Amino acid sequence: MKQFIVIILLLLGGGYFIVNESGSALFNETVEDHDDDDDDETGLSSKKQLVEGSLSVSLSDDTQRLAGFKTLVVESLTVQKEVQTIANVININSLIKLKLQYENAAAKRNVIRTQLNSVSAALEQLEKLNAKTTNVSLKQLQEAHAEKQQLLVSLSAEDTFLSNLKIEMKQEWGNDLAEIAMNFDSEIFQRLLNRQEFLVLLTINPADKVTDSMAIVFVNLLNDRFTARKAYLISVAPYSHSTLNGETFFLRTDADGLREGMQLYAWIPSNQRSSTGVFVPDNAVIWTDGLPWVYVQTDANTFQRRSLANAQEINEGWLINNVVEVGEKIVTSGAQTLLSEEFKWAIPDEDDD
Amino acid sequence: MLSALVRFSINFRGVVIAIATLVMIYSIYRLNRAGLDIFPEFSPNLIVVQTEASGYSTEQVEILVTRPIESVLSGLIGIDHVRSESIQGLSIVNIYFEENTDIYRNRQLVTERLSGLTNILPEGVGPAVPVPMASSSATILTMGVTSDSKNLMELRNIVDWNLVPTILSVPGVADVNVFGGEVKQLQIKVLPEKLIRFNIGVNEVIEAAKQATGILGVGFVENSNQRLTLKVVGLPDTKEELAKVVLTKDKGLNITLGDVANIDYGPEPPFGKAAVMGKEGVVLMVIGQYGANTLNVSNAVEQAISGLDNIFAKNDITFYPTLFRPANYIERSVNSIFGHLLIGGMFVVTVLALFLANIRTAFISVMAIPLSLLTAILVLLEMGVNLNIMVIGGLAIALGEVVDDAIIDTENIFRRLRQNRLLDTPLPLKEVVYNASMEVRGSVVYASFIVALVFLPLLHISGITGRLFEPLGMAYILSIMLSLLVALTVTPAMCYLLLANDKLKDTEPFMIRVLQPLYASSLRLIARAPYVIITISILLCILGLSVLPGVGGQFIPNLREGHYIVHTSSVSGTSLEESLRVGNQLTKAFLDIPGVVSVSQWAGRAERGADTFGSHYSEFEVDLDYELSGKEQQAVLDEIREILETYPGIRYEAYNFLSERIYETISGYTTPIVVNVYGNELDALDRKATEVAAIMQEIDGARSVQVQSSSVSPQLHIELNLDQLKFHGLSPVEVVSVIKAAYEGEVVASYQEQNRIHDISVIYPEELRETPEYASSLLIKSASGRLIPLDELADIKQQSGRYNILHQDGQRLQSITSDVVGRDIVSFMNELQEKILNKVAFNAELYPEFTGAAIEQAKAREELIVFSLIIMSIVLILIYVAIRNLRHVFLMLLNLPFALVGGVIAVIVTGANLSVGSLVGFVTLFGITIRNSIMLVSHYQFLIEEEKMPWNIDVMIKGAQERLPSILMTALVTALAMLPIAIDSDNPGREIMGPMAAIIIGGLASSTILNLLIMPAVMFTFGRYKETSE
Repeated sequence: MKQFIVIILLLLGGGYFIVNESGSALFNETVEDHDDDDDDETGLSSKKQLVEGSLSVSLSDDTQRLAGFKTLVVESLTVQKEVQTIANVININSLIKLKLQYENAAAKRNVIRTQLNSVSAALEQLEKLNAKTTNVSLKQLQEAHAEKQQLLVSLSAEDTFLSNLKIEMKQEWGNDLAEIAMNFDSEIFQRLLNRQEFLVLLTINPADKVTDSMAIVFVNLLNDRFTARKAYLISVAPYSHSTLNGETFFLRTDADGLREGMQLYAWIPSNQRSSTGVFVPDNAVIWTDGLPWVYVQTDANTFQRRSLANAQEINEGWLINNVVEVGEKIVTSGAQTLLSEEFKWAIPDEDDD
Repeated sequence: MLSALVRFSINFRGVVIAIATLVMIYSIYRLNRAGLDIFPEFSPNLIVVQTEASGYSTEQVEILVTRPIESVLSGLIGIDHVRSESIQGLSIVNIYFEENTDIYRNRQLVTERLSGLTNILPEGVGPAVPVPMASSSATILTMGVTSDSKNLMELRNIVDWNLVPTILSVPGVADVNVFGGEVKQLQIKVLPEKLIRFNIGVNEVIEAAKQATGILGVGFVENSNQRLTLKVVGLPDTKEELAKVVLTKDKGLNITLGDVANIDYGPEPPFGKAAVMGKEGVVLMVIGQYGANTLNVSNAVEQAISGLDNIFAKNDITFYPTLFRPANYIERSVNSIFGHLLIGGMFVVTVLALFLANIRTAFISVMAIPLSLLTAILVLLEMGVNLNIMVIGGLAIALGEVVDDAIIDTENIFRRLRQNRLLDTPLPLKEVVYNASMEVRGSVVYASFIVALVFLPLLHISGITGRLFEPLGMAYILSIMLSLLVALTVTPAMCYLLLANDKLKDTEPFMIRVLQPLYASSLRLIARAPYVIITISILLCILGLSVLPGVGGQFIPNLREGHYIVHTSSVSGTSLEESLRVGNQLTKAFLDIPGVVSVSQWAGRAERGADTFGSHYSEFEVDLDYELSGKEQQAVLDEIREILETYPGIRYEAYNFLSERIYETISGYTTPIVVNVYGNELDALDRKATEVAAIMQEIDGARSVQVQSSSVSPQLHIELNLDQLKFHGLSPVEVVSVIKAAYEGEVVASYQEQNRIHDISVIYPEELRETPEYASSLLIKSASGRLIPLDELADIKQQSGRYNILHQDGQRLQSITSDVVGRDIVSFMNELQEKILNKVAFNAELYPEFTGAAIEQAKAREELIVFSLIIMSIVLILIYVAIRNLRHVFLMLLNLPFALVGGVIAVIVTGANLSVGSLVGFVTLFGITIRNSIMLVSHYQFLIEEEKMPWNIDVMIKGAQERLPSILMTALVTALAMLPIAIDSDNPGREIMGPMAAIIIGGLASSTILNLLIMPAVMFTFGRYKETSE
């Protein structure tokens, strides 16, 4: 009708056909606006449907081939739940100093004991001779007695000193580590002394229930669980971390690449049982509505978006339970395109500024 | 005055012919040197201000960047309206000036105001720069480079430092937009574990790096004799040297940058990526300056880069110099159109020779055509109008009138000379030529002015249509006027020179002799039953006009440029990598289509581009085989669209380049119904927009209701916990700067590498920047010297944020658009206004505006109607002055629709759509018909008033018979000249003119029937002449 009016106007008006910015009302309905060829309704396109209560995208084989999606069959993975914390490589110079003092004192006590034994034997001999022959002067005998008494006092003093050292060591480093230190044959202490191993102070948040299961802990300079090394529990530490609050423990770990003073990441097995699930790599995960999601190919042509809301974040991916079953296929390349297809109505119209 | 001019021309025929020859030679000379283009400049009077705000979110960009820019620009003289868009990291402000203002002055004003922004914009933002003024078609050339052995950073380096400067030095190049590749930086990639080890914060690394290097001027030493410039060398500028820079001292040991970071060359976070033939590389888009000629600049660029092929090949770089070359289409179009015009010209000569049966008369008529058209071209070029398809179109459709001018005059002089020879006492030849010329002159002058006036509103159309069709109108009007001048001067001069002493045959030419008796008997037959003929013609008119509404409309026809531009868009937040992956899949599919030669893609945007495209957006250049016909090109487009239709998760547009540019220019006005809701609070705006959309959806006739700017983009939302910050003694900005340095990178200095300048930045390693979860473990050093992970200081969650924020005239705006189907727009708009104002609560800070293409069009239409009415009145007055009989004026006008029926039939037969060009065809037809009608009616008047004949059937037939040769010749010559263009018009160069030509040919058929058969019968039946007795 508009065309008709315009033509009449054109004919009778000697003049003019009316056009404006958009090429006139005459052309409005049929201006080639092919972006509207693609389904741009505000609702869902026919390609989307509800499958088992969640939204799915259906794509024909040809479309899938064109889009070049890649999928991965998920496998089961067992992961021991761990708690991550901080550990510090600590300096054991004071322990070594105490141990050396202890060793020196013990050696000195042994010398005194030996001297005492020798003096006691001599005194016994003098007393026998004095009783039988009386050719031993009383003065000689008294001197021997005095010497023995002096040695006995020295021995007692050394014992006290050794005992004090032991107490100091135990106070400062804990019973177990002190025992190890005081044990002359301790292989562990030898390795620490030779810097084959380092002593590590592990600090645990009291809220984390881990103490029963921490015979072996994993530590790493990098925040990378997979390359972490083992650290073995020695004892509870008698002092706390300088800045962190929590229970502390001494552990020993291989010294390779570590230096005193370093702060390490530590992973402690949780008291909870190990988790089993399927592993979803990071490149399959897409974020929307505040949650991570993964697309699962439920049949040859259907892709279903499933939430990873309750999944456990692990290295380079996620561990999930009851969301994706072993043997199902997840989309590892093209997940964002599927999300785009699902939210096609929300694709911004760039030219409509 | 006319008589003096004609008399002068006959008397000084030599001078007139010499001047004409001179003008023609000079016109040919100028024509050869003139540049050619497809379209005239059609871009609006627009200045785009672009400001990079790297790392800032959409909301921050809007408040910190867009608003200050809008406020400094407000109040500039000549501003029509200002629109802006803020997206993540970029602000674009479009300032539309009034159409008649000087774009260079506007630019100057904008630049002056922007200079005051320096201290207002946040640190690291901007500067706000006006984007170079590009020509309407913008792209001059698209090129690309890929390599098997060079990495993307090396490729980008070569492009940025070798190729781009060479191209920018070419006159006419405004800018080169570079997409893809990797921009080289010397990066200090901070290693978090090392920071922990040495207990060092990122801020300390940034400070140390800032102090470490840079390019600084240090002044000079001057004494009474000399001035010695100071130059400090040895600042660390290699990765090895930077690694040695001391960061801090710990227990007597130096800790260096190298201890806490990997220092290496790396790419800065990219704006976009590009691929050529599915292989990642660099794509360059050469942008032409405003007013630059595509063909000339294209050739100059090619000249400048010639020889680079060999250098690239030696370096194992594949160079694609013409991924898209718009000049190809220009060359092909111009060759095609000139070829077809040449064939048309040969037809013209044949017809004239056949009808006039005299080589001299044919020569005079033929010469008038190039003389008029070339002179018109000369005048246009002197006026600064570039030659383009529209100008050629204007010249081509003027052909009818130009030929008619020459034929009427020559044929009349020829006839009168023959008649004079038969007289007993022949009059002096000069007198005969003069009288014969003057006999037709009066009506020819009126007719020419009427036709020119009819085209005048074309110069008054606003917007892009006006800018596109104005040169066509100018060329047409100029051709008509110059043809009139030629007919008043050169034609009489040549007639006198060549015909006066020629041995003229006493009989009419053969064709006329054959046709005239047939024509006379047809007229007699019709005169017996005029009402039957009139009824048939009315029925035909009704039939023709009733089918017209069924014909599709199109702004411009599909142009066969041999190239397509495809845009694809996914949901916002899609990564560049995924966009490129999707692009590669599409590229593979496109390359499988026969006829596709090359495909290149860019995703995201270029650094200096004026587009606000996110990483989810891609553009493809699909270049076709040069030889493909229009039909084959359409087949390729259909296949491309089929692939895009099948591909999941994208919205697309696939156009040829020029159509794409035109639609891009007119976008924003295409939806008939737009409700703008203005307000300050974004959430309230969204809520109101949703309410309005819901109401709009329910109104009968609403279709495709959309809330614009409703797109969301995924964000990692980091909400700082101020209590925690206080506890740790941290300031919010300290935390933000660490996050920025980690993800966006903090540029700390520049360094020089030969003549190249690169940035030095502190940034986190790429692998850490890829994982959203890692953000929570980002370390910030507290006042007490402890490194604290970010999640202790902030609540981090993924959520959706705004993709963009739109402004109109400085106000936040949310637009709701709708199409209307099955009812008229006015009633829809009234109902919409009533419902929205009743049901939705608005206040002073939140209010709606009802607008849209319908309203915009109505405003433009009103202006044009007023103007057209004035023109119409003048036309009517002129017709009346020409024929001096009101009754005859109305008889003529009532018969006019019949002339257009042929045009309508042509549209239907050719299956074409109605475009603006088609309507220009109708207007031309109107001109030709009215001119012929005037000539016929005034000839009857001449016979009755001057030759004192009685008004009867014989005089009716005699008058018509005498007009037969010129009407028939004009129609045939025009139709045959246009025929080669009209046939198979869906090919390069003929897309716009083809439908126009088809309408003119069809219309000429009906117009000729009208003027030769119906008009005489109507005049005989209804016409009234005051007969003067002897």
